[in-house]
This record gives sequence, structure tokens and C-alpha cells, in this order.
Amino acid sequence: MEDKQLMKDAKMCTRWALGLTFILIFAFPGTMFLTGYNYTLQFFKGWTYLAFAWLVIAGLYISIRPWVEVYLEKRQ
Amino acid sequence: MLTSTTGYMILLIFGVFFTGLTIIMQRRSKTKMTAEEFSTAGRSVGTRLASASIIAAWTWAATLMMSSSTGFQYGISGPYWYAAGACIQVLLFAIVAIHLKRKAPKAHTFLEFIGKRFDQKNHKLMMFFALMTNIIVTAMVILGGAIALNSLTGMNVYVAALLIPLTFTIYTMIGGLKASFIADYLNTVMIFVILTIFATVVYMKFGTTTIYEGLRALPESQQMLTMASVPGLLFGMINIIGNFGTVFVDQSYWQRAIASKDSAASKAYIYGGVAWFSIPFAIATFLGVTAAGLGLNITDPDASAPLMAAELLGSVGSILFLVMLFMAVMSTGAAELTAITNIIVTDIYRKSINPTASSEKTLKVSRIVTLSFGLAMGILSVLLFNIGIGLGFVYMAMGIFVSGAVIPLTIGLLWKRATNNGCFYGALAGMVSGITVWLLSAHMLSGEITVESLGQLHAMLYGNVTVFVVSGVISIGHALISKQEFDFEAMKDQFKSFDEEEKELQLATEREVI
Repeated sequence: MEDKQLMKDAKMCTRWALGLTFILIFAFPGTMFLTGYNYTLQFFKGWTYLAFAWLVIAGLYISIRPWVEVYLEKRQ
Repeated sequence: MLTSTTGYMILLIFGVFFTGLTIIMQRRSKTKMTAEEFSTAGRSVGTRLASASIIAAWTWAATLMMSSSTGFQYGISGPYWYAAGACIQVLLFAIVAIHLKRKAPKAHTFLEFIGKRFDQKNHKLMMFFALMTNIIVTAMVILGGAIALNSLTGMNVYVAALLIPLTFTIYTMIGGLKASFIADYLNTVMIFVILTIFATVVYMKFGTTTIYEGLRALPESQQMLTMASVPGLLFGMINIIGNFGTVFVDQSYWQRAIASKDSAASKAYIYGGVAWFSIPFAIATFLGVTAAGLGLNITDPDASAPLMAAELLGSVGSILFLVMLFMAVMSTGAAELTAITNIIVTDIYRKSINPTASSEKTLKVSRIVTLSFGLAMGILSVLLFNIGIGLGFVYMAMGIFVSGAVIPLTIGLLWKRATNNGCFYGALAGMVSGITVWLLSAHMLSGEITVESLGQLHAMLYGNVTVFVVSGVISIGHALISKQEFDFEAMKDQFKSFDEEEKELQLATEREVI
């Protein structure tokens, strides 16, 4: 049973890892490189907002979730 | 500029704080510290704490300094290539982490797995790669911290290099991997908070339009506002290839999988990788690219981040940057130190020197190794600094030295047909040919072999690519030709925790007495 769950997890994380790798390394930069797109002011703004939003969301998630995890474990 | 007293104070405050916290936690802990607990944190760490720890271990001084340097030099493609190029290894590592959990549930190091999966020569070679990775990374982390302390506070660089390891060595020696996890969490949170402050101040003080116009006005504007930057792409390729070695061959990442609960092992790397992306992406965009856009007079791109931090908030900015950098240095240093300790204790001491050592004895040896290596790393960093080898050079050259083991190691874990000879000669030939191609191409491109010619993007790229191609062709090719098959199921029960080994030993002794 435990091994079955690990196999299930392995399949899921393989899909996520390969999918994200494809998007981050090939799909997005590949398209941007091949088109030679030059950032407009609007696009540059969006780019910096993305960097900021990603930072804040990741920071909140990493800071708060361990406490939620501890709380849920204690309740169980 | 800050005074050197500020530098000493930061070292003292953080060293005392984390040591105090570890002692308090040890006293409040209901479980007794054993050798197993010291090296695996009880294998009970949840997904989120493990994610935070992975982020902390992967956030080096270079992540903060070098990523900003790429933003300053290559424009918007630099931050992206730094973040994406070094994040995918963590994501892909999730795959091997979960397979280690399945195939060697009670292993302490990935080398322990290699020792049982392959023969002795493979175990020794992989151990060489693993120790080399840990030693270079630790030295680089200390070097980065010392250079930053020196440039921001004027603190003596040699004293800084010798004092920095002390701060994380003491608490790691007391609390082992668990202490490292707690410190990692606090450090990660602090890094996110400080980065958010910097990003907010950039928006409030300058706004994106000023920076954009500044970038457009630069002579090299052709590459500053596009992802189609060739130097940016070359850096990205080196970053992708080189960093595989520093993740896959570094025990500190395997250790986080070993310490995690079964359910957390794979998810932690996915969450950790995605969250980690935001750190270099944001710091390089808001400090590196912004510094270029504002036209700051920066002669050394590696110093763009601290100088931009000082530009944003004056002395407060410098202190915040220093604190953030020091947090990164501490957590990576502690992670590397526990990794080195685990390798020496599990794969050298318990395997070859004293296989029947009690838990108490093993714990004592672990602490001695942690202390000795912590102090030795400071000395090595001073030596590297004296030779004139800088942060950027070591960062980009590392892959050539350590990536030879990546493919043999990965196929050894995932593929039953991987062979002893294929993996051994693949890893060895990969490293040798990579170094040869690196030296030759540096000579051919510049007419001489110097630190400067070796540090060129093209020479680094050729060396890095050769390592992967040669090691991959030999190890996979030999496996396909020989058609051997390995039974992973049979090795599953061969791994035992230190506590289990001690119990078995006690039972055997009792039986003998009877």
C-alpha cells in the first residue's frame, strides 16, 4: 500500500517536474528568443509585477504553510 | 559604507541567536538526540518545512550576488535565465528523491545506495564527486559572505572567512539536521521579507517607467529589453548544465528527501523549486536590472546588488542586504556541513572504520566531524581568495568538475540496466574530457590558459556540455550493450537505521553470552 502511494506520488511529481521544465526552459524562452521580441513599457511593467507577485505569494506560502501543517497535525 | 563593527555585530548576533535557539529546542524536545536523529531529523519533516529548507539550501550568496550581476549585464534575460536555469534541477530532483525513498527507505546518504547498487569502485568515485561538491560549495558560500562583509563593512576578509563558518558550525554541531531545518525556515522567511522590502522601495522610489527608459537609453539596449540576448542565452545554458551537478551530486538535497516523510519527499521539491524561482528572479530584476536602468556607476557587476541596496535605503539598505546575504550563507553552510558529516560518518566511518560503533559513539564522531570541517572550510575559503578565484568563476566552473556523476547516478537509481563499468567510466571520462575541452577551448579562444580565459562563457559552455555528452554516452551506451539487469527489490531490506543496527548488535551480543 505504502509503495503504491509512493508510485502514485512519483508519477505525479514526474509529470509536474517535466511539465514545468518544458515551460520554463523551452516553451516560454524559446518563443521569446525566436520571435526576438523587444519589451514594450507595458510588457516590462507586467514583467516586474509578475516578479513582485511571485515573490510575495511564494514568501507567504513558505512562511505560513508550515504552521498550518503543524496545526493540522496537532488536530489529527 | 558601514563600519566593521557592524559586520562583527551581525556575525555575533546571528551566531548567538541560532545557537541559543537550538539549545532551547534541544532542551524542550521530548526525544533524545541519537546518531539517527542527528543525521536524519527522525525522517519526519513535513512538506512545507522541507520546501523552506530546500529553498534555503539552494539560496547561496551567489544566488543573491550573481543573479543581480546577470541582470545588470544582460538585462531582463539574466534574471530569467538565472532563476529558470537553476530551478529546474530542484524540480527534476523530485523524481529521483521519490525513487530513493522507494528503493532505499532507510538510507542515510545517496552514497549508501550507490554502495549497494554498484560496486566499491563506483562508491569511492561517487564519494569523491560528492565530497568535492560539498567542499567547493561550502568554500564558495563562505567566500561570498566574506567578500560581501568586506565590501559593505570594511571587515577584514580573512577574519570574516574564518568567523562565518563558526556561526553555523556551532548550532549544527549541537542540533544536527533538525537544527538546520529550523534555521533554514527562519532564514528563508527573512530573505523573502527583505526582498519584498527592496522590491516595494524600487516601485515607490523610481517606478518602472524610469527604469524602462533608462534601459532603452543604454548603448547595449538591444539586449537589455529582450529575451533574445545571446550572452544571456549562453549564460542560461551554462547555468542549466552546471547546476545539475550541484544539486544531484550534493548530499544536502538527498538529505532533505531522506529527512522528509514519505508523502512529503517529492512534493517538497516541486513547491520548493517553484518558490525558489521567485528569489533570483526578483532580486536580479529589482536590484540588478534596476541598477543598469538607473545608470549607477558600478565597475564590478558582482557588486551591483549591494550597491543598489545602498542606493535604495542608504545604510539601512546595506544592513538589510547584509542580513539577507548572511542568512543565505548560514543556511547553505549548515546544509553543506551536515551533508559532509553524513557522508564521512555513514560512508567512511560506519562503513570502513567502525561498523559496530554505538549510537553514542557515532553521534560523538558526527559532532567532531562537523566542528573540524566547519573550521577547515574557513581556511580553504581564504586559500581560494588568495589564489584570486572569485565567486562567479567557481559558480560557472563547478559543473565541469562535478556534473560527470549526474547521469550515472540518475540511471543507477532509475534504470535496472545501468552497469557498474558503464557508470564508473562514464563519470570518470566525463569529468576528464570536460576539463580537457575546457582548457583547450580557453587556450584556442584566448591563446593562453589563465583564470580570465578559463572564465569566458564559450570555454565554460564547451566544457560543461562535454561532461554531459561523454558521461551520458558511455554510461547509457554500456548499459544498452551489456543487457545486465539489477533487482531493486532485493536491495530494499539492506538499509537499516543506526538505531536498528545497534539493537541488532545488542541482540547478537546477548545471544553470544547466553
